[in-house]
Formats: sequence, structure tokens, C-alpha cells
Amino acid sequence: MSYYDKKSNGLLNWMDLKSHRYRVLYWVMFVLLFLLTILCVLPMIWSALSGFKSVDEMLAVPQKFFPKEIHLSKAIDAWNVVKMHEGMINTFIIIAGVIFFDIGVNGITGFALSKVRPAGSKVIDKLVFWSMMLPGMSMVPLYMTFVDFTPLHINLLGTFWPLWICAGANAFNVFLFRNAINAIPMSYFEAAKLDGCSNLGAFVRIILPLIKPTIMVLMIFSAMGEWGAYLWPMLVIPNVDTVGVKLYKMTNSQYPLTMDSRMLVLSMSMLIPIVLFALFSKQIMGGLDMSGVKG
Amino acid sequence: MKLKGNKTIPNNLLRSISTNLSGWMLLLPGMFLFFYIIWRPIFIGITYSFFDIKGFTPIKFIGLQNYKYVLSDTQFLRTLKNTVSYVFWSMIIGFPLPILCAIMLNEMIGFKQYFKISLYLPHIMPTIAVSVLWINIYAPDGAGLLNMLMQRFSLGPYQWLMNEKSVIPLLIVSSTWKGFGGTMLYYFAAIQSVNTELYEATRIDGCGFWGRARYVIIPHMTPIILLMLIRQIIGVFQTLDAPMVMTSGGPNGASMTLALTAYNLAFRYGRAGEALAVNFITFLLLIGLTFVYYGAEKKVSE
Repeated sequence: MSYYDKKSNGLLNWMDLKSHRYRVLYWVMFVLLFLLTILCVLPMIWSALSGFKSVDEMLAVPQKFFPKEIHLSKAIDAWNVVKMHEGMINTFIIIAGVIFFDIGVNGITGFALSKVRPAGSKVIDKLVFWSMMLPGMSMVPLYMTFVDFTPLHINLLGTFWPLWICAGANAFNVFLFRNAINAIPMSYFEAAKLDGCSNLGAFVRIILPLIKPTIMVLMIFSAMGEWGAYLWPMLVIPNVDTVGVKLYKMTNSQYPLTMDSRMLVLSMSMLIPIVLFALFSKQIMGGLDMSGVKG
Repeated sequence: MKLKGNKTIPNNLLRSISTNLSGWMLLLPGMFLFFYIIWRPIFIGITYSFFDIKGFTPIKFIGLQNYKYVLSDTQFLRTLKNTVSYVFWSMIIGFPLPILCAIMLNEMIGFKQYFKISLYLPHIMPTIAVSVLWINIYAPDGAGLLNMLMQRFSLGPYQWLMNEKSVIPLLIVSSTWKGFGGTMLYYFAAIQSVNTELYEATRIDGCGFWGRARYVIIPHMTPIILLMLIRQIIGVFQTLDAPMVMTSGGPNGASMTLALTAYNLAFRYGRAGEALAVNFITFLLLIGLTFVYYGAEKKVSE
């Protein structure tokens, strides 16, 4: 009895759950959810296990779910063929720059819109809002911008700059920063100014430490986003392989890998996101408060 | 008093000018990047769609010729139809699933955390990894996970992605697999924000299961459902990743989308002008929806 007694919210409450009909409904929902979780997790486990099968085992009819034996050396070989470490280092360099530009540009813009608010900054508020709303034209004009980076007339292709610079124009993140900073009382900022802090000094010394949770979440999301990016990196840094680009090249058979080793590479590429998730699942699932993101 | 006041006014004025200036200095780098990364590309993208472009350098104004080239291509209408078909299937497969999951998750007494984490797990996978994974799941020979399962029931092997009729819904299944966990969390947060007194009130009023669905859950979720619906339509309309990696638009152009057409035109066939024409057509189709979204969001925030 007591299992149902505490339930007071949701479609079914403890009174409904006294009747058999609703109990059946409850367990039907339970089973449905359970089946869905299997659908979500099974493909990942299958890909990791398949990696250790031989090609013959993979093509066998009927195919077994578990491989005959697991040799870790096989994983190391596949890693070396793809040079995964190289991809990971490149991806980490990108992530570091992206985070720097995110905090340094979007963060400061959000700060200025929230606390400093110079006369006329309402217009900027609206502009940033519409930057977020507009569908965006495509990669072609953006690519053209970097072929001949207009204000300086230099070609930025082949460098990490296009990836980093683009991270500094993220309207969604500007609003996330702005909302997080809105929650800090104005008096903190004013006190810092009275003590002789410049705007920038107040941002670095007072504001940033106070919005650590938001920064954490944004950093994790940036890292995960960049981890899978391949299209834009492939276009602007054709000479550098990120993890995503390596995976894309793998689908185009640019590495001498058999089917089973490809599955191993795939599983290895998922390792870092899974570790990040395991460490920060609370922050990630707590997610970003989208409710206040508007102009 | 008056004299003092008069003296302080210029000082105040100076101070306000200097604080405003230093404030605008903070906004400058952001505005610079927003201009070059977001606003200017839209502007030059539209402008250059009327230009002859050789290797990403605009040569001369050629009027509507890029558009003529794009629209006279017999594949264009088919591609547009495919793109709409992606949206249609994502409405059927991808749209209701996270709503139902969030509602069911909210009902659970135990195992809530387990369900939440497992359902969210695919969402943390990198996009490209999801595509690679699903290529293997849909593999046409016995090596694919789906065919492996089908063999247990002595069915198949099926061709999955090689079938013109089933390729779009199957691609939508793979992107739904990746995406629904994230959307579910938004819905779940919305349900959890229902005031618990409302449940108590419906219980006292003698409302049952349907009453609570009708008067508590559905009204509370309608705004966010509406927002997510429009966001999803806009997002799916620009589908590029899945068909590019998994099918290259095939078989026989059956999974080609507008975004992939534009990408191929620009970066494979060196026809940037024509690509921009396709992009501008897509842009025009979506801008209407954007205004609907804006209106809906305004209503929600009220």
C-alpha cells in the first residue's frame, strides 16, 4: 500500500491508485518508459561490443550480441590508425578558445546589458534578440567573410580563429549571461565601482565569481557541442582534424579500418562526453533556464 | 543652493558621458562580432545571391539568373517536397514523444532518476557520432543491429536506408533518438512547475484523471509545446547533418534537403551564387515562421 501513498501530484494521485484500473495504467507507463530506456541505451552498448567482434562474427547469421572475446589491444590499434589523440588535442584547443571567447565577449556583452546599461543599450538588447531569432542565411556568406576577413583583409582559413571568433557572437549565451548577472544585486556592482573598480575590473573580480554555476554549464555545453562538430571545422580548417572530422572521414572510408574497428573508434569518440556527463550530470540536466531568454 | 546646482550639472553631465562611454566600450567587441558573424553575412548572402560568384569572390550582378538556374532544376521541387516531408515525419515521430515521456516521467514514484538519465543519455552523444552509430544500426547486411534483431524473427535482411520510401522517416528516427531527451527535460521542468495546490484543488473538486489532464497539465504545457513545435519546424526545415553523413541525399535523391543542396552547390560544385539563391529561398520560407514564434513567445511570457 505504502508505495502509492505518497503520490500527491501528477495525473494520478494516491486516491486513484487505490483502484486496479489506474494501477494497471501506472505500470503500463512504467513498462513503456523502461522499454524506451532500453532503446536509448542498447545501441550504445551494442556498438561498443560490436567493436570487439571479428568481421566474420558481425556478418554471422544469426549475429550474437556479445563478442567471443575482448582484446583491448584491438582498441589501441584502431586508436593509432585514426590518431585519435591528435584529434582530441585539436578539439581541446578549439574548446579552450571557444570558452575564452564565450566568456570574454558574450559574457561582457551580457554584463554591459545587465548592469552597466549605457544610454541606448536597449537597442543592442533588441539587436541581440533578433540575432537569436533569425534563421541565419547559411555557411556560404560566413565562409566568404573568413576567406577575406573583411575588417582586416586577411585570409583566416586554416587557422582556429574562425571557430573561436564565431563563439563570440552567440546571442543565446549573451542572454544566459545577462539573466545570470541580473540575479546579482545592483549594490554589489555599485560598491565595487565606489571602491574604484573599473567596469572590466568589476566584471572579472565581482561578477564572474558569482556566476560560476552558469559558466560551468556553458563550458560543459560548449565542450560537448564542439566535440561533435565536423561541418564547419572541416570547411575552415581543412588541414586540421578534430574528433568530429575524423569520424566524418571514417564514414567516407578514408582510414584503412574494417567495420568492427570503426565501431570501436565510434565508441572511443563517445568516451569524453560520457565522462563529462558522469561528472556533471546534475549541472547538465539541471540545464539552462530558458524561461528568461527574451528581449 | 542654485549656484551649487548649476555648478554640478556640467560635472554630472561629464560623468554620465564618461560612464556611458565606458559602457559602450564594453559593448564594442560584442557588437563588432555580431555585426561580422551574424548581420553582415545575412546581408551579403542576400545581395550576392544576385551575383555571379567565382570561387567565393563576387564578379558581377546578374539579376535573377542564379534563381532561374535553381528553379529550373527539375530536382528543386522534389527537394522542397522532401524537406517538407522531413518536417511532416518529425511532427509524427519526434514531436509527441518527448511530451508523452515527460508526462509519464512525472507520474513515476520510483526510478525517476534512472529513467531521466537513460532517456537523456543519447542527447550527450556528438551529432556525428549519432549518425555513424545509426548507419551501423541500419546497415543493410546482417551486420546491422536492426537486421540482427529481425533475423531473430526470421525476417529480412531489409534494405532500410536504401529504400526510397522509408529513408526519410528512418533518418527522423535517428535524429529523434538523439534529440528527444533534451526536449523532454524542458517539458518535464514545465510540468514540475505546476503549483501543487492545483492538484489538491482538483482532488477536492472530485476531478479524476481526465479532469487533471484537462484543467491542470494541458493548459500548463500548451505554451511551451507551442514554442517547441515552431522551433522544431524551423530546425528540421534546415536539416543537413543526417542526410549528408548517412545517405548523401540518396537513394536517388530521395532524402535530399534544401540545406544539403545548398551545401553541395557551394562546396562541391563551386556554385556559391546558386547556393545562396537556395539559402535565400529557405530563409524567406522560414522568416514567416520566425514571426509566428516571436508572437507565440510574447504571449507565453505574458
